[in-house]
This record gives sequence, structure tokens and C-alpha cells, in this order.
Amino acid sequence: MSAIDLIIGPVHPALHEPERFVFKIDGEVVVDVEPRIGFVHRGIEKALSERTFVQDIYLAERICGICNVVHTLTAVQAIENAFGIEVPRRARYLRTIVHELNRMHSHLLILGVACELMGFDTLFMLFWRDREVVMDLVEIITGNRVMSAYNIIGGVRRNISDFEISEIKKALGSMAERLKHYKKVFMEDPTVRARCVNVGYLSRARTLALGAVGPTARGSGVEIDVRAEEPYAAFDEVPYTAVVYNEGDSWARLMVRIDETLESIKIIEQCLDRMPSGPVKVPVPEAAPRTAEGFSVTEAPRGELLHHVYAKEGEDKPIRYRVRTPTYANIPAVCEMLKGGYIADIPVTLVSIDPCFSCTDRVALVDVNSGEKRVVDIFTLMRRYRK
Amino acid sequence: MVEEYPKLAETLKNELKEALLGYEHIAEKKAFVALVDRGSLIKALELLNKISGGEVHLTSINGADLGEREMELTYFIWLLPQKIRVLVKTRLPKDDLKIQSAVKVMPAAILYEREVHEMLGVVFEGHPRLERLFLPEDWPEGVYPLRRD
Repeated sequence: MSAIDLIIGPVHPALHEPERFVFKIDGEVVVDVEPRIGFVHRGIEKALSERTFVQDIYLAERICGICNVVHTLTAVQAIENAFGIEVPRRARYLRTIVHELNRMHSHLLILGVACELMGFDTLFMLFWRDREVVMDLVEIITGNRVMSAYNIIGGVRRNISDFEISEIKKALGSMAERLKHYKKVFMEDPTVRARCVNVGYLSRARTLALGAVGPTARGSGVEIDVRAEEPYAAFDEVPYTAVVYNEGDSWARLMVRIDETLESIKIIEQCLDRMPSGPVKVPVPEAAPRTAEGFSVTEAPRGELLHHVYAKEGEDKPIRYRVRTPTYANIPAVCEMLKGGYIADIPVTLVSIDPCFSCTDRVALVDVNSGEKRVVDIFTLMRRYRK
Repeated sequence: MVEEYPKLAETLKNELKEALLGYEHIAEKKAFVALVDRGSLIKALELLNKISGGEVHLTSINGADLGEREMELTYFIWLLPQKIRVLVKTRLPKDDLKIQSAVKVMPAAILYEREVHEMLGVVFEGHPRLERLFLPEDWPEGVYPLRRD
């Protein structure tokens, strides 16, 4: 059979951010993958270095709509690192709570999407029902469901009351019970196992060498979790152990996320119980008090996130601002996972690294020999290849 | 962990000798920062690979234009067994932006080097495919958006 290029993207359901993958396929098997990224390159790094440090927090928040909290958290930590600012303890606890709620909603979102792709729509709906509870909790604390703008340089924007603490505890308690049930379903249900087990396998050694991060790395037995290894915010006082699965397949990567959602509930509960009193912010200078370099590494829902900032004394804008996002780090790894797999497994493998999702896109099938192009709707493709 | 810093400093000093231009370990930054000569960068990375028994994670390669004369590259590395964050830094003069590619030592460098190349114009010698990564196809040759000159 002649080699065929299967082009996925720049806009495709498995990719919320437009990226293009050209799959060389032999029959049903993917033999090679060529990624092409940069379709939504907005020049944010350049824009960050042309705005003031305070403006940068809000621009950094817009790097990603789903994990916006972790971007503001990393940005303020990097700037505080460069400025040499100590943040009050209570603020660090509040940051941790909102950060973990953000992770919960992100994980529940992708778990739901993964279930939908497997053809398990009931579980998809259940995951997303619980995600709504988390969104409401974010609103209770920050005043907004999505773009919370909660973290500021030197602390957080607003305090939390005892009434809010009891509301959060109530909601999280019942959610933990439901999540344990979903975990059982993921472990036992034949549909989930048939679609995920041994799909998109990547060995531990390759995962590490290719620099994969987050649940993608931890699903292959690589023990890297910034929260456990390089504690930031309140993680030095709320100990955390990384969730690691050794299977290395899509199932393991999704299981890491379910377990982490349960762990997040524990972290939030511990933070609420141990919440210190005191101020939630300290006054900070607008311009850099010293010439220094600051960086912050945090564990975003999708993996390790890095912000690196160069500040110059007396200037209110950074000289250079660099962001390394987790999906970018996972691209070499996902390309390797897809090789040797079936076309039918592409969506599940892609979703298992959580590259965000949209559902209106199309896939082009191109026959390289005849040059003939056919554009089909992704749902047609899914129906064709669903097992 | 902080206790491992002196041992790491000793190893780097013994192996790299004059090529190690400076080092510091900053508790506040929770990192070990080593400035190496650009000719010995690969040797330094190989050394870190050896120290950790291959259990090394390349987090990122960041390039920064420091002004008129120099460009700074920072390799963010995490050593898994020692639990140390190492920042390997090297400086390149702007009239000769060439450095050995790290892809053979750390395969994760493949995309980061392409990005630094297109954004700042650093040439990584020995990179298997030093092409555009983020910028569009019709972006003019020789224009590097993150340069400050």
C-alpha cells in the first residue's frame, strides 16, 4: 500500500491551540509524525517585556485560559524572586488553594473530554458536572469563575472568610466520594480499558530523555512533580508526594489525573485547616529595586511551567521575559507515542497529554501520490475509526 | 537538595577547570547556577548527565539579549537523584553567535534550540534540523524578533 500523509490541524479537536501534525501512515499504522507548531504564536514574550511588571501578571494570565491561575502564580513568583520580596504566609496558603482548585477543574475537564472521545458520554457528563462545583468554588474565593486575577505581586487580591472556608469544605467532601467512584470505573470498565490500556505507550527512559513533564511524565514512571521536589507557595508546609504510574500508556496518564484531583482535595483541606492568620499582601515597589534575574518553576495541571524574568534596577519593565509552557515540552514525547499506533488511537493518545480541546475542527486526508485532498468532519472520522 | 551543592561545585571545578567561569548557589532561588565557557558547554552537560546516571531532565533553554555585546543562554536542568535545580549559563558575543548543539547529549533540546535560533539568531552547530518553529513561513530571513538591537 502507498504511503499516505494524514494531516491533522492546524485546527483539530485534539488540539485547543492550533497545531499541525502530519502523520505518515501505512494502512492503519502511524509510521512517522511531523509536528508544526506556532499557529497561535502571539508574540507574548515580546509583549511581556514591553509592559510593566504589574501589567505582565494580567497578560501572563491570558497565555492559557484553562490554567490561568498557574500562569499568574508563576509570574508573580518569578517577579518576587527577582525583586527579593517575601510573601505573607496566609497569602501563600490562599495561593495554593486557588492553584489546586484550578488544577482540579483542568483535570476534570480533560478527563471528561477523554471519556467523550472513548465514546463514554455518561462519564463525560459526570466529570463535567463535578467540574461546575469547582468553578463555583473558584468564584466564591476570587469573585470570578475563570479569569480570577487573584495573585498579585506581594500576595493575593482578597481574603477569605470563615463562612467561605466552611462552604468549600462542604463541597469538597462530597466530591471526593464521587471521584473515588469514577476512579473505580476507570479501573474496571471494559470500554475505558479497551480504549486506553496499552495505547500510546512510551517507556520511562524515552519520556525522561525527551523532556516530558507533568502527568505525561508521571504516567511513565518519571518521578517529577515540582510540588514535591521544589516546594513553592505553601507546599513546604503542606507535604505532597507525587502520583506516579509505571504503565506508560494513555490509561496511566489519565489515572494520574484522577488521583491528582483526589490529592488536590486533600491539599486544599489541609490548607484550610492550617490557614495562618495575618495579612494577605505586602506593599511592593513598582520598579525593580535591584538588577537581578528571577525565575519560578511550578507544577501546572499539564506539567512543569517555567517563567524566567530579567529585571534592571529602577526600571518598571522586564528586559526579557521567557515562558516555557508544559504542552510545548510534551510535544516531542507525544510524537514518539503516536508512532507505531493505530490512526484510531490518535485522539486518545493526544488527549492523554491534555493539549486542550475544541470540537468544531476538521481533518484533511491527503493521498500523496494522487495529490487528491478530501476534507472530512472529525466526527465522521471518529465514527469510522471508533472501535 | 541544598546539601548536595558543595559536592556538585567540587565535581564541576575538577572536571571543567578554567572553563567554569563562575558558580553560585542561591538559597533564595533554590538553584545552583554555573557559568561556563561556551566551548565547554557540552562537556558540562555531559558531566551532569554522568553525575545523575542519566536521570536528568532538561526543562528549557532560554536565550536573552543582554544588550550591545552579549547574548546569554540558560539551560534549566533538574537532576532527579540529587534533587538539584541547575542553571548552566553561557555567554556568546553577538558577532559570533555559534554554539554546539546539545541534542546528542539531551534529546529534549531539539525544539528549544530551534526556538532560540529563530528568536535570537543563535546557530546551534550539529542540530539535525535547525528550522523555523513558531514563526510563519513568510517571516523575513535574518530578522530576529527578540533581539534588542
